[in-house]
Amino acid sequence: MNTRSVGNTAEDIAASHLQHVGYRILGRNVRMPEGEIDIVARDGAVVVFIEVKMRRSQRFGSAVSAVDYKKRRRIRECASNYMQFFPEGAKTMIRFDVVTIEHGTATLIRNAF
Amino acid sequence: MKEAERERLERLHQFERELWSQGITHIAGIDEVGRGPLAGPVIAACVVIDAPLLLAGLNDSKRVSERRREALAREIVEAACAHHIGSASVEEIDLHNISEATKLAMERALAGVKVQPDAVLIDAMRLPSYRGVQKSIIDGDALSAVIAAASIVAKVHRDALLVQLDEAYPVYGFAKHKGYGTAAHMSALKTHGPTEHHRMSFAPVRAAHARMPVR
Repeated sequence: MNTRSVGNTAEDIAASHLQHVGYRILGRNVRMPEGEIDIVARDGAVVVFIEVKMRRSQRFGSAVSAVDYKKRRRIRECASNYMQFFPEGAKTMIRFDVVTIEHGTATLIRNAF
Repeated sequence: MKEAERERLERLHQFERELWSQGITHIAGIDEVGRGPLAGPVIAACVVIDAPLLLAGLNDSKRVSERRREALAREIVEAACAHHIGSASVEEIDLHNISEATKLAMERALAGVKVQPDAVLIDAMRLPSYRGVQKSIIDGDALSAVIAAASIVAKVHRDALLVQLDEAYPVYGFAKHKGYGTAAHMSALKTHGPTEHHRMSFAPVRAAHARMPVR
């Protein structure tokens, strides 16, 4: 199994968990010039940018700590580019969540960073 | 994503962005598929969005491969606030005409969505029965993201119907040509005559029927 297919499986688990708690998935693997956002969703009026983290073992720290400073900055840049698709004046709130997948179980961390 | 693809997607949302900037939140896109074929219903889809559709390869249904189209249709339905398929039957096409039947299918698609839109974008058509804000866009499936989305959902739905029809009537090759008047379809029509799913009001079908030997 290559890393790409592992990633997709984790994103599928994450997406169905998010739908289960009431999010509407706007896009998966949304590509921006700055990089990729795993999942963009709507939670009510809020647009949420979600990073999916899969960890097979705790050996290198938990999944949420894997979203390091550099990665957070890249996700923020992608998000700000994405938000330009909404017209000026549209006061849409945004948020950054992380979904960790450990042993096949999804955990949602709202407002992760 | 390359800068160029991002710009393409931004252009594809020009009408949607204009409506959003006016304070409109829910935009419906309506498009039709199956005006031209000799057989099968005409299908329309209505897709309601409240956010941009940033789906890789989103384009009008004619410019997307079949496999990508099916994946896109799933992503569109997932991202949309609501969607609905409307159709007009072969009987209705023959009773009125294809243009009126298409309008009927579009009206049914719009009437069926669970979230009422604030504005409607339609490909090259106006719906006289709709009282709200509507904008008709020539070549809309290539210029508007929400119309392109509707065209993809409609196309995938109709193709699946024609594949089912192919199982019931395998000699015509519906799964391949989806009812359009290809050489293979015309030759099957001449040999086997029209089915109840053929549009008798269409000249090539009538001609094939006239040529059938009386049994």
